[in-house]
Amino acid sequence: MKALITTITRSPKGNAIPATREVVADEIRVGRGAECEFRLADPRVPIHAKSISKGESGPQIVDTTNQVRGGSDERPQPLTVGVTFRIGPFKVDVVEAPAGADLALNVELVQALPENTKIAGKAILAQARRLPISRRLLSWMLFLPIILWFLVFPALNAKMHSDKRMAERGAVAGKAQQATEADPKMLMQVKSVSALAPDTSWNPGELARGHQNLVGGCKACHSEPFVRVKDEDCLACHKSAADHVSKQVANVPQLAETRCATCHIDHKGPLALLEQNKHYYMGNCASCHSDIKAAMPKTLTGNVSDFAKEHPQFRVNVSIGLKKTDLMRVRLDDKAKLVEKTNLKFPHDVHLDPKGVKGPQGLVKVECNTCHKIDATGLKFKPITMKDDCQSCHELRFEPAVSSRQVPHGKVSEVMTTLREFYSYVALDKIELNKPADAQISRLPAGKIAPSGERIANAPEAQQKANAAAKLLFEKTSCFICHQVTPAEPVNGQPNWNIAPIRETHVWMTKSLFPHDKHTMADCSDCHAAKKSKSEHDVLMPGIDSCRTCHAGAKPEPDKVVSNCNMCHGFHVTDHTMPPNTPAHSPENSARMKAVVAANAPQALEAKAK
Amino acid sequence: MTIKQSTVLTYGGFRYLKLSLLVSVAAIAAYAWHSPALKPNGGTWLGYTLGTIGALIILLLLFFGIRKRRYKSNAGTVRSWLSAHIYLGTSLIIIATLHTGFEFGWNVHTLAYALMLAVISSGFWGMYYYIRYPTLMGEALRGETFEQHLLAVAAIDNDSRALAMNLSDQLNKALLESANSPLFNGFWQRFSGKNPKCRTAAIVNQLAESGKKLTGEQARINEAVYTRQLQKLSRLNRMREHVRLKTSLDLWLIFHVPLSIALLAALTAHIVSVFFYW
Repeated sequence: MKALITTITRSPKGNAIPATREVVADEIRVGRGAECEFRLADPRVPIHAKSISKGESGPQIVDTTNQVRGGSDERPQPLTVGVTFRIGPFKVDVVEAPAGADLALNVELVQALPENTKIAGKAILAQARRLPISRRLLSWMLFLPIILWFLVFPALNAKMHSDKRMAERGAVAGKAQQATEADPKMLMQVKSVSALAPDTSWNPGELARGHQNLVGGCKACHSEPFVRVKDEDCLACHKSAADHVSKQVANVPQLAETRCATCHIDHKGPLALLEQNKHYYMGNCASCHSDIKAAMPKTLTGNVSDFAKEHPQFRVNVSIGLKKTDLMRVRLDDKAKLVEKTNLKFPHDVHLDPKGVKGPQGLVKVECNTCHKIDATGLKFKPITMKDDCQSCHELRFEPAVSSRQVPHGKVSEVMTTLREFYSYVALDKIELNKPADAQISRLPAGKIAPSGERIANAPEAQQKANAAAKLLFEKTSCFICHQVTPAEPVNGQPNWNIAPIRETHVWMTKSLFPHDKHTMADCSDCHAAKKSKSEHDVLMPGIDSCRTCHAGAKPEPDKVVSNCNMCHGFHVTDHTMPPNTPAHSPENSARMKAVVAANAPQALEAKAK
Repeated sequence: MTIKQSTVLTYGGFRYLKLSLLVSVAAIAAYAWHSPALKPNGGTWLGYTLGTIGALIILLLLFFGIRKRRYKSNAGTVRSWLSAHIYLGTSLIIIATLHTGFEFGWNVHTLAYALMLAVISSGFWGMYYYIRYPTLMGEALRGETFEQHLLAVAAIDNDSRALAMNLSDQLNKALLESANSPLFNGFWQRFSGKNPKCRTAAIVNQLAESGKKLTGEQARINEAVYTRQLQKLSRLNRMREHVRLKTSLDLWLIFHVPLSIALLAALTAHIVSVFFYW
């Protein structure tokens, strides 16, 4: 049989390009194999797919794919015009055969191999970029936990607790105080106030030792979001912290900008606050004090830029009355006002005579520290008492010839009682007062109590002697030596005297600290001109020149100590005249400060001077 | 005459290197000159200044990710942006470290700093790849393009299949499957550049074995197909090396980009928290 096979390929535009060839054979084998008469070169076509032969009623086709496995059981299909069939990716149409041919077939590849190299290349490279997880997903997986855990949760936690914060702070502060004062276990409870607080991750550094009980309780100090730590937050616990300038004295706008936390910066390690408290880390005193009048026109404080270059003469507290608060700050230059009001008669020069001062046992050499003894603080001196510091010389004997007995250093009535007792005894026992002293006379011997009738009988004589001794003591010998004594109206027929009360000692320089124990390399007389002081009204405080012999300013000088402001002055101006531990912000202190300010006002000072 | 090629590093006569050096030196000088109360930290005026500069630079660097996708944008060339990205990113090491004042702890602040260093490190890694790998990728393909290799492989496949028409169905099936099989089986092979289950390699072995048994015309065809498949395997391995390099080149970004987004989160938390509890 003769067959015409037309292979149709397509132009890029899809137009058919036919190519016809003629095959003449009894059997036309169709398949991939080279021996096939109708060869379809495609791996998807079986090596022997079909067989076309001339049947009884025209050309017919039979499947031979599985022939090797024992022959085809398929019936041959007639190949009449219009029949279409597929062999692998090829479509075969039976068309009208021209004259002389038995069969005409059109063959077209309708399923090309999926090997468009361009697409394949892109796919492979795209595959190379395809990572097991997308960058976007990974970004979200990191972004969300971080933003939730480190920002949203802590912020929500803080916001939710903002209403409770005052109560919480009170609890924390209260517990902290209790914990440090009494029970160390309380610290744990304080910590557990908000131990799970997510805002712990915001903590930029370890808290100071004194604040470590507040770890996890951020709101104890950071009470309001997006607002710097407020002074009230600090003062909730630190009630006794004094202002630089008390609000009762003046309202200084410059100081309003200075918060506690300007200088006291926490989260810098356990010992950082202690270290900061020793220095003015953030301070620049001169920025205000070099022209203090500009900021505070009414101030009595002088300008200071440097201790060596510009520092006013010291002001000392001078007593102007007998009350504790009767004090006036006077510059050491102001000699007219520099008079200490005290009712004690005490010339330092007499006592400090290098030859010695007369005592009961002869000449006594008195040094400053015979009476002035530094107390445990090293800053101040122990109070001087009659018993400890004066009486060894200033004995209060009244019959030194016969007795070592002394009157008490106390009220007039107590003195009178002692004297009456003594002279009654003398009268009863008929002791001769002109005889030399008998040691036993100072005590009433046991079993020698005189009968009452006898005591009364001797009373007038004893009374007169006692009165006479008292007059001598008060007005001539003992009391009068040191005190202002004036006769007063008799009480119950007994003579009486007024002793002017002694003005209590006070701190001279309240705005600075002078540690005497750190200055023991100098003699007292290097600074205090006590040896030449003839009057108790003298103020024996040294002036600034005295300090400047050893102390330089901020700039180093040969043989001098570099001295910054904080060497002598504190920022928190505490009032030494107040009892210790008085809260600076307490109502009583506020009232007191008002009084002090009023007393120190220029008009008040002038009135007092008159 | 040698043509000196400008790279992102030499861009604009080292314009951004100079700018970064200027910023870094200025930051170091300010840090050395500054004597804060206590010790240096992020809360001093210099600390806030360095922190602000650092945060602005980070935002600028993050914006590079947006800028490089804005093909219509005229706000500087992408090349210029990348050059600035590299140099300003490097200067961040100095600016941010000085901002910390060398205070570190287990907190969100140090987290942000650590993430920033991680992003910069991955950036250095990527920069090294960008400079080194394009050359290696070219060398791997022996001067041809990837598509030329694909065409050659397809031609070899066609040729082999044509030759192998009279060989066994099994071989023809294997040839067809190998033509449609991927370069790599599984993601991780792209990191090694090797495919142990390569069908072409299997065919090469198969042909070597069958060659021993065949004689005459069949043996000649077998050898011809064997030679072609060996050529194909060589090309495939070059393509695999190319893809391996390409994968690495893209891999660093899977660290760089998510870490930079994590940094954005930590930086936001850092800034907000600092002022929340001022």
